[in-house]
Amino acid sequence: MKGSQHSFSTRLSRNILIVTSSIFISVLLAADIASHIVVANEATKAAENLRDATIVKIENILQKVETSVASSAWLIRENLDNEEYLYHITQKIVEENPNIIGSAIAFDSYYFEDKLFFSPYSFMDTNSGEVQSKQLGTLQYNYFFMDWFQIPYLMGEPCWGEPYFDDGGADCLMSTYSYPLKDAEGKVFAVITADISLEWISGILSSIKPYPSSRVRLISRNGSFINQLSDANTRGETIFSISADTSSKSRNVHRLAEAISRGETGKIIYLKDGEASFAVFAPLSNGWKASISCNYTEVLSRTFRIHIILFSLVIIGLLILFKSSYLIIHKLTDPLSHFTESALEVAKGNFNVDLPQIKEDDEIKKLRDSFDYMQKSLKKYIGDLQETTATKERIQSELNIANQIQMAMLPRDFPATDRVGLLAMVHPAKEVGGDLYDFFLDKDSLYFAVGDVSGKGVPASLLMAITRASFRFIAKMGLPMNEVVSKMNNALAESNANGMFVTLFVGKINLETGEFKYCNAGHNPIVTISPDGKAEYMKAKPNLAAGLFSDFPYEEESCTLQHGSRLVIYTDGVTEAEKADKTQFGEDRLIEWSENRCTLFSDSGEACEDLYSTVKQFTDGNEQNDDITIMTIILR
Amino acid sequence: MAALSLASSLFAQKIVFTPQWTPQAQFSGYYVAYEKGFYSDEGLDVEIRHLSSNSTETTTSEMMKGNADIVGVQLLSAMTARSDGDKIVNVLQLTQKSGLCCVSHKPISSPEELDSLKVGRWRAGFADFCDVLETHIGIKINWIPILNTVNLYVYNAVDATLAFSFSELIALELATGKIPDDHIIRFSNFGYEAPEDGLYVTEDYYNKNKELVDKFVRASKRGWDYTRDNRKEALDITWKYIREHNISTNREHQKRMLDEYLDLQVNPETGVADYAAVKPEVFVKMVEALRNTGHIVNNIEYEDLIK
Repeated sequence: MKGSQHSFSTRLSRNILIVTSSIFISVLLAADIASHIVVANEATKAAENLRDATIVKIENILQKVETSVASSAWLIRENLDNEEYLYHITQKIVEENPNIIGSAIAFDSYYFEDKLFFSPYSFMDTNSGEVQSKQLGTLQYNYFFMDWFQIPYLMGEPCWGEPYFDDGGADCLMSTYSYPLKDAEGKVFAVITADISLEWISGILSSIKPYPSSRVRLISRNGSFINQLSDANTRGETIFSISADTSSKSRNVHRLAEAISRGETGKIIYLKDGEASFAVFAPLSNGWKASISCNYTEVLSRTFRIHIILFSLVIIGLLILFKSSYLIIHKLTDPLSHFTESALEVAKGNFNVDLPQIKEDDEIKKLRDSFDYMQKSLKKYIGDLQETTATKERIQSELNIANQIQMAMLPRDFPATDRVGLLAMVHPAKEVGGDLYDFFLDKDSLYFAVGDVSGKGVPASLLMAITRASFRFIAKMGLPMNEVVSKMNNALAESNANGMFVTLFVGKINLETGEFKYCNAGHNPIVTISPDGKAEYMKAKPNLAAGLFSDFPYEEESCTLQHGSRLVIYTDGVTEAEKADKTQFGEDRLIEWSENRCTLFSDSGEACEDLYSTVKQFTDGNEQNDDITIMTIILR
Repeated sequence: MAALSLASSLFAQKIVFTPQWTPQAQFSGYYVAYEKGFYSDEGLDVEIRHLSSNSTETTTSEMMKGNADIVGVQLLSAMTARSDGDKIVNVLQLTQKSGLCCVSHKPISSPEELDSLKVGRWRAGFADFCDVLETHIGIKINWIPILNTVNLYVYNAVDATLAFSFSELIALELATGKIPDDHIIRFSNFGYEAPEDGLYVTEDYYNKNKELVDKFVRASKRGWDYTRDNRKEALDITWKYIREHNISTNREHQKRMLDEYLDLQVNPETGVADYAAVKPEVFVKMVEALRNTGHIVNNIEYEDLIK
């Protein structure tokens, strides 16, 4: 029982743990999702700020260059007739702007008579650290087909050329800003350029590292990655070449490339090689684009660590909760185990066992009080029961004795002569019954009676005893049968305060002549079986059951029985014997038995037994609810 | 075996082959033939000698100077060179249809719509094609000579640009994204039947080394056939050459280039890459167009150029 008590505590604790765990896990998951969203949004905002700050930083430097070149334009226009001064202007541009490492003023072909190329060019000589100048255009270096000249020349607008890695001397990442000079008619006649080193861009971009594997990219107008151009292995890649992966592990990569390429500002979440990332991007004023991509695994790694700690704490908390709830429940339910032990003791009959005392006025105390009340009630009930049982046992014992006395009243010495055979039996429904039979031989006559006292049990049995005694006494007076019955009726009626009565069939057969005189007092008609085996109910006036009214005028009737005839006298316990479905044995079945079975037996006893077993077979184990009495007489 | 190999290399006949350009998938079949030993199998000791990226020479001029035995040349250039007196002969016509196309910033449905537009074209070569085009359809295009980049188009400095479907068109798409089909016209869809790349040797070399040339052509075809069936491996081999020459490109570009270039090798009439020689009637039409635009002065016969 102790184990079962623990099992209850464990089960309850386990259920609490399951419910609590579910709630905790749901809350944790919700918190996890919420924190992921918050962290991801924060990361996006941080990346956007970085992107914008980077763009501002780069544009500040580029704008200085643009301003420097643009501000030289008027000076060039003023000194177009002074070739030497034009060299000087390019020199000043380089000298005055540390970001500019070379500057040219490239004139259209034959802008100056007889000069196919004229392009004063100054550049920072890295060896000497001084600004050198020269004329740039030659047949070998035909700048008319160079992007830096051709694009602003055709467009009529300034532009930043495609960045490139100059591995022919400068050995650095460069870009050229080109500014077209137009004549009065709007025709471009020269292009001012400023070559700048973009090495600082790498410095700026490499300093931005929101997360270890974050990629910060500056993308040129033709899709190249400016900060990868110095790497020979990757300089050929473009935004669309790296987004060409169409495998199932990549999503949105091409959409991202298109959005960046179109110069959009925004954020796109994408999947590349199964890794989820987001990228924030925006264009620069010169057509370049900046993009920062961050891997979600890294972005969320901090929250992941926090969640691991949180999860561990929750697990520990749940274990503590499980243990403590187990202990509390165990303590609270401990009296129940005492109750169990007490119940066992009570079950053993020990009603004086002590119950545990409960201090708290709670359900357990109520249970204890109820148990106490039940214990006392049981004690009283069992006491009463013991007394009742003793009484009942005593009555049962007396009834058994009464049964024996009653059965002893009925004659057992059945005549079995060469002239007559008789046997009778009584099967009371209860310990004692109200059925009776009697018979005696007087010279050549056989007197017999079969009766059925109304009711059952002890009252019926007492009246049965009186009836049987009065029959034997009165019948021996040699009176006619109706008078025998009348006297019995009067005797019974006199002392019948309870209105009880008895049906009787009283007969006298002259065994010599077969003369049969009888009187029926409200009893069932008896069955006569002729020697040829024909059975029928004998016609007899029913009269009235004895004991009801004094001086009732009973009539005697008579007939002659042939030798070989048989009589079956019975009480209604035979014909009214019922199956479980309330079907009665009935008079027809009795006639059928009389014709088919009774004649098979030469001995009355066997015939009686067979009728009784036929009735029992019919009722198929259904409880007998009335006394059964059978008497068979065979005249030989 | 070692001795046999040594003997084989000792007696192998040396051939210098120069393709039109720096390493790229346009020449994968030759790299494959070399790397897989198809040239060696023919007893050839082939050297693939590329032009440098800043070279102003053409492969024809390199061959005429004796710097190459076999070169890759476009048919149109070969015809002009032959007319100008460079006695060169075509020993293999590789592509079977033209990959020449025009990419516009706006939708375009026919070459006529290029009238008066600024259209980029290669500074070197194709002037003959441009003249033929203008003369043929009666328009005047503002041709903008460009070097080898696609930047003029990207920067909107030109309205349209000429491009090869296996090269510049891919470069443009990898720079700016997918170009809508209705922004591209392929000249092969407008009656321009001249195929481009083929292998050429000098007439003199051909006469003296016919067997050698046949071996090279046979091994080269084998290389291209292998490439067609093993594109990834061919691309890996090509990528090795690209890296060795420090060429700025990317694998996606080379992959698409190889696919497109192999497609150009498919004969539209037979549906297979059969290396068929240019048809005489196409040749005659081309000669006539070139003569009408003054790009060739001297007549050239089909049998003289096509072997």
